[in-house]
Amino acid sequence: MRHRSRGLGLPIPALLLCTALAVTACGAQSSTSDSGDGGSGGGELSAVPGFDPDAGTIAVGNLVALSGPISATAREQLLGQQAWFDKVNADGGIAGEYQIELITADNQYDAQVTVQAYQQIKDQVVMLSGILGTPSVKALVPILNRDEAVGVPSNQAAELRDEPALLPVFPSYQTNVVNAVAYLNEQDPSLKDAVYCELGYDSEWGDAVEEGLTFATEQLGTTVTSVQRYAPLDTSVTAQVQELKQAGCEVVAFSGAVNNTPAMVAAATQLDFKPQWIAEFIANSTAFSGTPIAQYLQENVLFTGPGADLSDTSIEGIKVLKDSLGDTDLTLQHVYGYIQAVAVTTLLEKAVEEGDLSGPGLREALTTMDKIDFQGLNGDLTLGEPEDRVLPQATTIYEYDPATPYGLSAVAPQYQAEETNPDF
Amino acid sequence: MATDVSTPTGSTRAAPERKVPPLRLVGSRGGRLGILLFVVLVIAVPLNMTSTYWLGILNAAGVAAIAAVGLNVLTGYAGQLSLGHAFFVGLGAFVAQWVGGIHGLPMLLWLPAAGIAAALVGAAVAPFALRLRGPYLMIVSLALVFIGIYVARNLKSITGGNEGTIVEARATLGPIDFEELTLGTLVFAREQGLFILIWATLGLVLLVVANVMRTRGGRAMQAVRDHDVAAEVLGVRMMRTQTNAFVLASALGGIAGGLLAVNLEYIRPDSFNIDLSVQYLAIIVIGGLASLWGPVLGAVFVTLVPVFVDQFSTSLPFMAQGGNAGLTTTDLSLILYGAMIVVFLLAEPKGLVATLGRLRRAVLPSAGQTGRPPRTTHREDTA
Repeated sequence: MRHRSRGLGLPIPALLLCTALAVTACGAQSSTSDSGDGGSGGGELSAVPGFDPDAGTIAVGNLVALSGPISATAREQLLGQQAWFDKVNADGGIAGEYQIELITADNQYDAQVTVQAYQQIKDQVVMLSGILGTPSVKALVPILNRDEAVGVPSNQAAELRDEPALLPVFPSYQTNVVNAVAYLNEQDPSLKDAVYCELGYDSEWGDAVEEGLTFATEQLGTTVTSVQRYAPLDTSVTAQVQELKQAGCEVVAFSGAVNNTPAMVAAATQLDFKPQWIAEFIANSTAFSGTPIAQYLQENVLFTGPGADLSDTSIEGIKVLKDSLGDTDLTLQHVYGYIQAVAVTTLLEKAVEEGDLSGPGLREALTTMDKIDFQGLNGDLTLGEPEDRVLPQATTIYEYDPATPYGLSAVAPQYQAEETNPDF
Repeated sequence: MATDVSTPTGSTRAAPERKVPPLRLVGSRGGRLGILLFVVLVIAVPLNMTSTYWLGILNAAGVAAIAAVGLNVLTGYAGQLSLGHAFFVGLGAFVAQWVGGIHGLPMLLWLPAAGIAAALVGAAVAPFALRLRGPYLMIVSLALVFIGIYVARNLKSITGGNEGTIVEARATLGPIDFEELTLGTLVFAREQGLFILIWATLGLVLLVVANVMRTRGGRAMQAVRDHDVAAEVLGVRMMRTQTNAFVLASALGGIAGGLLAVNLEYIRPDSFNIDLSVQYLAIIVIGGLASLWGPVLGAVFVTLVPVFVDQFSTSLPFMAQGGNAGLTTTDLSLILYGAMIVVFLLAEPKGLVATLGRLRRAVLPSAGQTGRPPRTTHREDTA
């Protein structure tokens, strides 16, 4: 009796597979083909993804939250970047030859979307001028390393400062808290014996603020008494604020964005809790102007961040921004994006000077850079080899001022505590 | 006393005279051709596609499809609503990183480990969760997501806590490294290699689920879904059947999580939240509940909507450009996404699968009139 196979016959799939492989193998690269490193080799810049020498354009990409609860502030960052790029382009462009183009992609403040957005634009840009969100930055780091690419993180995470793929430019969350606590004690020495606490995001941001506050209180010879956490999308923090009140907190470091501030103020007002709060500038919004929130902020909150006196047009960066924005009120988010853009053009100038705009070329240029002139808007940033980098140790301290359109008025531009931690 | 619902009463007496078709992995010639076509596509698509962006999109869709196939077992076939699927996907992701990344073990171990760990937890939870039904089960399963995130945030040595962790598990199978795949002188991009891995796994998962649903246990799941009291009267052990569905769904969620971790290279506890569970639920609703290919179609559809919106966004006047005000691609995608769910629930509750079937019958009127009845089964079909 002859046996007839009823299963999957081998010849047919084998034939189909072979056909598929032989006919369609055009998407894989041959290992013997040229890699095309984008280097100059002879002093003239070669074309690389994002750089078209014939058109005279260099494109950079920004992965930013164009949608979601922080989209309004994220868009201000983009406008700030565009203001500086427009200025550079008007002056002739990078090295007086190449115009900068800004390409944006919405990362929705989500790490997985960020990876997809990066894949979408990476072949159109030479580098990333912004990556919004610490989780997004961390998700991209291994991919940027594999692609030998460079990006500017839109965050202040100290632990990312020595990543070869990143060009960090801002003082860290930790440094901001350290400087704010030092400033408060300088103004009122009796706060040395105050009760220090934190109301923070249940995330790496909250961890960073706690780390900074711990360092600052150690310098004062005291400790952090109470740490309360909340989820980023919590609409009420009454229970946490109640805990802080019961602990007798007198100085509270707050890590929260603009969408968290109303909940904090509502809980504190409801409980008649009025400590000295320390917050990042991103906790403020022009939308608070004229509301009861503004009154509480004015009486109880000190803000920290990069930047300077936003009304001082003698500062080059402020003047450029105001000229570019026209009737739009200048905010620290504009300044934030502007500072990133300055770092980007400085790096691009260096890479053009060294004759290589490819990813490896930009990384090489990054290691040969020393300082960046932020036009009075940011502290000194020490670059060089990744392990030698030191983030700015100075922070501008702001108070809430209802008389100004944005609400924040600088009381101590580029203030630096006597004792800072270079690891922050 | 348990009765085999898969065998009609009296069939054993007629067996000697009746020609019983042998049990085969693929029951029809069309099915075998479909598998061959799938295999060819799994290899041909990445070879023809140079864009790592599009491959990345398809890889994400493939992972979502595997997870959704798992949820479809529980919700589509067994009729149990669950919002806890993201928990099992997350569990699989972190187990994959623990086994493959921290301990450096190969994919042959970390991928099954991701599925087994999720299955074990599913088996432990199921007896308690399945005492409830409908919206009550949904609420209990929702609690799993929050418990999972809380536990993961506090297991810093494995998960990295709030900050998450870079995934170091490698997609290697013996000498084959899917992340640096080479064939002779051909060098594949990482996304190309992972496409082959993810979609081949999806193919295997579909094959397994299709066959499980043909077994006694699979038919028992559908019987419980259609009328639990009638099923019990016929001898189906409801709790065991539902537990089986829960465990299988959890295992597939775990496998999807392992692949998601390797594909994404970075995972954090907060990524496996309620939004992800809702997304999987939307995928199977849009694709077609209780159909084999529904979750695949739904995953591709849900993944591609924002991509296509993005492609056409520059030509739409009401869209935001740069930092200016206007509708973003995400806003428009969400509007379309929500509208699609409403449209499908109202106009096509059987999902994309039914729509495609209708189109096929319109083009080929003879199709569907002969041969076997469609495999898609719904409560309405049997009521």
